[in-house]
Amino acid sequence: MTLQPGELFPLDSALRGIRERFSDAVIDADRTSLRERTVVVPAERLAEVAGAIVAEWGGMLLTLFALDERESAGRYRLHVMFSMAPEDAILTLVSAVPELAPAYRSITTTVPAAHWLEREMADLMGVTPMHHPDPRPLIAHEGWPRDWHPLRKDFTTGDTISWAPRWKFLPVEGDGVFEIPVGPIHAGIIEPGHFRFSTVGEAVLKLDARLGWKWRGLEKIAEGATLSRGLELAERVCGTCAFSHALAFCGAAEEIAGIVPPPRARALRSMAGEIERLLNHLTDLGGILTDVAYVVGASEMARLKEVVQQSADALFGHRFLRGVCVPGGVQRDLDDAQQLWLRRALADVRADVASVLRSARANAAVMDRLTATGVLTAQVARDFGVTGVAARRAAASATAARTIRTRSTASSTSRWSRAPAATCSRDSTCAATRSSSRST
Amino acid sequence: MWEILRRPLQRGSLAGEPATTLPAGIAHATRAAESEHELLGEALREEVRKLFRGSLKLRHLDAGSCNACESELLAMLNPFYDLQRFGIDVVASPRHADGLLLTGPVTRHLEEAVRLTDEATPRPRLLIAVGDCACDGGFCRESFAVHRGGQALLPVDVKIPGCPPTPTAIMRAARRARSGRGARAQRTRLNPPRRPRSGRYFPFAISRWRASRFSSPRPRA
Repeated sequence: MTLQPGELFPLDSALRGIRERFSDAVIDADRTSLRERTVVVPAERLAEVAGAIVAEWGGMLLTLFALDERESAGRYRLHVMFSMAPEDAILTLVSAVPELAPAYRSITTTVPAAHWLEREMADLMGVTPMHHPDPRPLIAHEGWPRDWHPLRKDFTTGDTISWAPRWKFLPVEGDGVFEIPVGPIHAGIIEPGHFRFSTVGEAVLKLDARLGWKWRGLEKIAEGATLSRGLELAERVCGTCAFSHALAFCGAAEEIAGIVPPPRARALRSMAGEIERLLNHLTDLGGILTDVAYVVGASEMARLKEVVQQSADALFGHRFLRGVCVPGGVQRDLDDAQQLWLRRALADVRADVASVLRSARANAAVMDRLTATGVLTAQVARDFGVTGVAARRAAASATAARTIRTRSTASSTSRWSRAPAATCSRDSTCAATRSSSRST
Repeated sequence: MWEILRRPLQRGSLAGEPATTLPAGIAHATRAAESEHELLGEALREEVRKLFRGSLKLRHLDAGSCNACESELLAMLNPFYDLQRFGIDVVASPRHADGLLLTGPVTRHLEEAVRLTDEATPRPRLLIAVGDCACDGGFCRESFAVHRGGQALLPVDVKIPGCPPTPTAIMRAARRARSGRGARAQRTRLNPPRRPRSGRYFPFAISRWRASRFSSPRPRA
């Protein structure tokens, strides 16, 4: 990143802004690492500060969670973490929420990306975001008693579970409005989710989603687990992003222990991470082509995915790259011959993908279904913290729309193979890519 | 269209071929026996022909899996494994299915959905648990939010262990199920023993017991 004279890195400008505008916020002098800073903010001003970080200083919400510190300090501690991209820096806002009235002003009002995170926290920790636009439970389904918050330290399951319904779909009423429930079990090899479409003819007025069907309580069983058990759990949070989760877990463990893995291990990690990203992109491209009924292309993508998966199996020892990343380094090394072979194999895959995409783009039926479907505007992408291909594409379209008169083509930025490295947690890239197809 | 068809036409059918082979001299971490799934598939085709008149339709039921098992089930339909060749297919509705492919440890949130899907499947039906989670809860069995696999709610006929089982492992396990533990349940549920044409009806086990009791023991050589 190059800076103009007098310009500050996003983290520095955010810290200066907080110092100037929010006098009651305390910037923690104790740096955890060079580009990671903590700011203690009173809970009632949290929404305001978070909003300013996102809107004015270019932060992007990473995650939000609460810690149970009732026993030691009589409070819950709220952590809101922002990525200060393009610099590799993290800004954390910390607030204390009193034990007896665990509520604070919701930050979803100023940072829409916090929507689900706050609902999840309200269910699992029992810290209530006030004035949240949609306070319905996310993880808690029927059967959860109101005072059941699994992530609290004193949580026990007890014997009986009451079965009072707590969840209500938002009603859509009017002449000719039909409500179509879909799921939670869907047709096909796909995960559960309940969707309720309110439609008039072909137009969908509203889609209300109910999720959390597959909640396995992994957060709770990870409490007090050993390092190897923790790695086992991390690799199984999401089966198709096993390596990314293992990498995140190992990174956390290494940071706590103050270890930096050797350069060769870090390079091999990047390589494995990229293979996993490639696999997920192939799956998603195949999914998009399946959803628009371009079966030839979808089948070709399935073939390429199997090629990459078997290559990963042959070189790294697992089809999903499990067991490759361990705290402190990696389990596998690739010699020169293997690296060269992998380079050639991936070059073939790249050529084949380009060929499939060319034929898909030349197909009127495919393009008719994809063009102008599920358009993601740059504003929505920013509000909801979209990352990866979809975010870059949304930003590129916004730029392209402004400069369309001066440039002949605006699509050169969307080449999938040129995408910079990113490891996605929570599958945000994949989910966002999916939103561009017409599938429901 | 021609561009995308040209390569497959030049290449010919991929079914039964390995997707990747490392050339000699390059060390490999794992390598499946080449074309093993082809042999397994032929054996499966024979089973499906005998037990299901050549067509076995299964419905996938995700009960809280991490999606690795789903990915492998999808891989079984790709051009390399191409399960449909052997008469096995995944259908969209439990009403169309001869059996269910259960993945995941059965989360408490999905308990009702799993029961309802099972009830919607016409009898007799085969219940196949795919992956360690579906077999006995797997790595998350001590969590309060899950059951310990499909067996906690429903009678499981075939268990396919593995985390996740590879496509070849799924075929191998399905093949073994015939002679292994799941086989008896599978046979009796799908082809219940017939009543003898004459004489009184005894359940299978009792009649055999009677037969052994009243027949003289065979002299030992």
